[in-house]
Amino acid sequence: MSPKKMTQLSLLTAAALILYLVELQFPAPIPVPGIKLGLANIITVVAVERFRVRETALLVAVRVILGAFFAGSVSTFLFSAGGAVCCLCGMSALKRFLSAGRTSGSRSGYKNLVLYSVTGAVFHNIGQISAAVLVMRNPGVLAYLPVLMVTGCVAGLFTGVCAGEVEKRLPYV
Amino acid sequence: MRKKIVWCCIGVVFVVSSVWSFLIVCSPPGHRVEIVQKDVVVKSIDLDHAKNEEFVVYYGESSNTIHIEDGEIWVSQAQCPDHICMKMGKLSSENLPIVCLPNHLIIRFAE
Repeated sequence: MSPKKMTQLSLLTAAALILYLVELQFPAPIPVPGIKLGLANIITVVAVERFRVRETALLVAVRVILGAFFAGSVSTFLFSAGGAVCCLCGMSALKRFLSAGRTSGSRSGYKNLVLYSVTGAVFHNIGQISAAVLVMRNPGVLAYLPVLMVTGCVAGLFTGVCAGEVEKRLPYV
Repeated sequence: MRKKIVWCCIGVVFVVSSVWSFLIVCSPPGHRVEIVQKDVVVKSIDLDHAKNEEFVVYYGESSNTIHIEDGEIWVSQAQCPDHICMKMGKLSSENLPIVCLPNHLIIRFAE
């Protein structure tokens, strides 16, 4: 990996980590386990758009590990990791699916980022709930999946619009 | 075209999840409650005949205080970081348990 790319990824990781930690300071808007806005998702969406899957995975892995190190426990790390893996798989698959129908070289638009974001949020919730079921060894938490899917779509829409704004303002170096 | 397909899928997921959530939230309460930690039923209570009481369920050094009053059950105190289990209020839906993820605790109506 070139030093330039490594620096860009490091800066985005730092931004994602800050957003993650800032969001933790606010109380949950709806008292349902797992519901959050997912501000760090903004950076993941931008990274999915700009970098390869491998590089984005690196960014997300460092963010999840450092996030748990700064502010979480082992179980919150597992929920985050489960969500992040699913989220990345969903976004990457969607990027491949959408780019297959596009002429090569053209950059995808604002709306694609919103699509990545919403899909990522929904997949994140699926991964998070799956991890919770495995950790708690009980399928009871599955009852929250539909509620999380609805809020995930709304939160994903918001973070997708934010990611679009970031993408517009962040220069390609 | 591909974007439209994805938007449609998201729309279907949103609508189905909304209806499903509504049905889950609006389902009536049951009678027998189970308090489960990991896959072990710690306590089973018939709310119709339960006396008013408060007890503590421990998870390592952390704990949840569970309150039963007039046939209703809720978490009154918790040592978890987010306190979401407390904010969830009384157990009112057969399909929507009270969950404390950090303490691996589930309070649900038994089938």
